[in-house]
Amino acid sequence: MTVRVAIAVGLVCLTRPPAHAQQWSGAVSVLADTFPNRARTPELRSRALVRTTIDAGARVRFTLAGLAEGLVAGGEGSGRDGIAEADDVSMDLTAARFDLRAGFTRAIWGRLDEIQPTDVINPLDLSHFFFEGREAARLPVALVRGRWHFSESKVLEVVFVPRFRPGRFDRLDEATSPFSPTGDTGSTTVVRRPSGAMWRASQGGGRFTSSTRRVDWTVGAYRGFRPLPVYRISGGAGPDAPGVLIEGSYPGFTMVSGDFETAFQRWAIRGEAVVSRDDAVPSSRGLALSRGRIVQAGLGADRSLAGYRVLGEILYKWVALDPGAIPADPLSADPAAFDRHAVSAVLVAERRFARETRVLRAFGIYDATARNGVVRGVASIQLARRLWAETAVGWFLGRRSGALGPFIDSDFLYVRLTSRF
Amino acid sequence: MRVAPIIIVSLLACVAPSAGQRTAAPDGRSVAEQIRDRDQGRDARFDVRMRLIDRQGAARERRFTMMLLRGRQREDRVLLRFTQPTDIKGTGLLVWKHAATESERFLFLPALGRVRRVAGGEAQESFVGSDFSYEDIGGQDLDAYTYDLVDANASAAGADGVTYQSYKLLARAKDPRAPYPVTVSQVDKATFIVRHAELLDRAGERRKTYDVRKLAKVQGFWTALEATMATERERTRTELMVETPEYNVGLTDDDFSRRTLERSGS
Repeated sequence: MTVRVAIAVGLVCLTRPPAHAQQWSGAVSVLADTFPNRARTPELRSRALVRTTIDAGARVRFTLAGLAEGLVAGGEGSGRDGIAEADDVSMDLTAARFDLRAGFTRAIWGRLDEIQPTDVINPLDLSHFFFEGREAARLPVALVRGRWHFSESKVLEVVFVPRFRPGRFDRLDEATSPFSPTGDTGSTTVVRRPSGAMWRASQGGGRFTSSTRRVDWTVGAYRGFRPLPVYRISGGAGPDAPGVLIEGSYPGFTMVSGDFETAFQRWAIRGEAVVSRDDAVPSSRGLALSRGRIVQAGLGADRSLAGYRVLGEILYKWVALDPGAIPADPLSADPAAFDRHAVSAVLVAERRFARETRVLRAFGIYDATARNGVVRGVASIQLARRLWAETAVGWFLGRRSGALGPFIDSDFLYVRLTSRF
Repeated sequence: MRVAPIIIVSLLACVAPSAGQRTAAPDGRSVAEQIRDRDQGRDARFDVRMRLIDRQGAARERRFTMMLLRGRQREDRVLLRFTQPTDIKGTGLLVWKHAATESERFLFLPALGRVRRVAGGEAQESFVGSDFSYEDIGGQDLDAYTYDLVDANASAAGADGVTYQSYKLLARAKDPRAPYPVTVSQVDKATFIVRHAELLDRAGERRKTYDVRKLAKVQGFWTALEATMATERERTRTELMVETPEYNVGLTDDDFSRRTLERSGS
């Protein structure tokens, strides 16, 4: 299917009149990585991305992008995999006060960096999230987005996603990926996707953006499905007992959100808050589910400091379970434990020097409730006009709980060469 | 007004103020105001080539398109979009200048996929790795500096060897943390273009030198077609060359909206 789409993209491009064609752009990269705590190591990941835009007059623009990735894994469980798929096939229509985007593409919500509670439209590929960051990790989805620009600052946006696309732990060989939390359990895992009539399996929402003085703010609402599965044990006394079945699902949620952004003097301040009603809230150990309301809020600030761009964010999560909805822990038969509060911190520091031919970037998340975190350090150097070399270290530390718990053995080191054209 | 707003003030065209336009003896502030207030057309669009030359003499090139709109009550707008090389292609910067308050700045990064409001406090930091700063390119608020007219009857030699009459203007940043708090400029009396400037660091030592290399009239507007900023200690320099300058092309407020910033970079 994905290959067919990629071929179709290519054919569409080739059949366009050359007079409308824009310059092609893209990147080719080769990444060699190793995971010191995983048996399946090292890996060689290659990637090619090609993108073009075609303006059909002043009001219509087509965007076409295709992606191919390949994996060769060594170590104890050697393997190969590859994908070729459309990365963006969309049309943008622009009118005086209205614009429309339709196709297989991205629509970005949220104002914070890296952890964005309101960024719910595009699911993430977690391998790219940990390697490169949130921007590189968003997966395209089929969507239609309309925006009405009442004025420069007042915008009403409506998004409809007709078909659910799940997030991925790794687009390449996900089942045995170092980022897959279910790869090594040895149990049978069944994951059910949202199904049924389109209105039941579709997602959508809207938001209104405005500015008050120099504060840009947004309020919105969205109904959809969590992009990564939550799991519960179905049958058996424990995960190692015969006949154990782990059931995964993508729980539905309905959220009301707000965010803001402002800048003054040397500071930029951003914030997001979400109140959601979730169909399934995972327990602390992740194998029992309940229902309830979740409040997530984040506040961040960034500024330049001694040549570095420094960014810090604090995120708070509060969970209120429905009365009487606490299930038994499948491993102990006692009532399952749920984290009612969670506090996380994000810190980013970046420095560009030697005329931006060298970049140092450090990124860290610390989950104070789960007492774990991840630190990623990246160093990049421009070797030639179009050639960059990059090396990165990712270090997960702390306990096996919370959102980062499943990845605690996924420390990584990689070296990558990227050529952009 | 420093050298700064090199693009806005110097690379941009200007029409020589008519004789007797200001008859009172000028002071530093009034010279800075004349630099700002001269007729630069209602709007303008430029394709700019930027060459970054390192201490070994190796050069890298960047290209961007710049659009400017003169607003009422000096609320000018600037939109800049990179077209080359590919690693920054699509990156855009939008500046809304305000007469009485700090400018608003918005950045669009293709990878980020959205317009982001950014702080303006780092105005003197390097602009995309060049020897120019953000305020050199995007413009600085007049009130961010105090001005002294050091010499009302100075003269200086231009890059073409021809001597021109000038005002020698000293601008001091009000922000004590500014890395280049003092700028000494030679302002061409005939055009009110800053043709030469030296930027001093906090120790009072010269750190950067700015020169207009080529000055010409385009559509009746004086335009600095080539300019250079050199950083002494690092022995680097950046050359800016304006290609295909156009004035009064009919730009409107809609061309300087956040929506346009996003669309032009996507």
